[in-house]
Amino acid sequence: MARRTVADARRVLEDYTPTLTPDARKEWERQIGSAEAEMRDRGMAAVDRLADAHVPASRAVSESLASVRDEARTLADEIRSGRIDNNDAAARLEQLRSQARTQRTAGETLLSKADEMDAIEGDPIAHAEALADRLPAARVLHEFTF
Amino acid sequence: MPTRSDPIRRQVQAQGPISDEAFTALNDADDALAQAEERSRRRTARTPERSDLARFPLVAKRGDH
Repeated sequence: MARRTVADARRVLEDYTPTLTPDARKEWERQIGSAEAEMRDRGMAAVDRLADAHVPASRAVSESLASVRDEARTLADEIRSGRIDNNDAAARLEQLRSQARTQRTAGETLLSKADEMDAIEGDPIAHAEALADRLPAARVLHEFTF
Repeated sequence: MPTRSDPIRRQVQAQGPISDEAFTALNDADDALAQAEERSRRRTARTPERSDLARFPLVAKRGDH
């Protein structure tokens, strides 16, 4: 038994192909296929986790921006009618502006998460291997008989 | 083809106009505040004594006696 990444197992299969019997080759391919299926499952589980975290977050950003818009409109009315002290209005305005900037940045971050989800969903195996190339700690090892 | 990220992209797309409206409302409030401050400055310039008394209520109180 050897513990390898799928990419490594594919390389070994390629190296040994000229000397393998058809049955042995079939068995090695079966093991690689099984490891790839596991990687696809892991990838889709990661997409599920990202969706669970970021779909509600994206709704929260929309709600927060709408809230800033509505509060800023109310604040403008209060300032015009003199119902709020100028210093209080200035402080509230700065607070709302800061909230709007934060939410706009959060929207940009969400887009990068959506890109990541698409990359995993599109090809979970290639994504996992590219990640393992960048981060050795992210390498997933599988049991192979070769 | 639908993907799991579609709901996020739809929300982010919808956020563009909301964000624009929010910043327009903030700028509107900013303008309203600038006008209110200008009105306040003009009032102060017209009646400096009263505004000074308003800023120092204890002095104003003493002046009443």
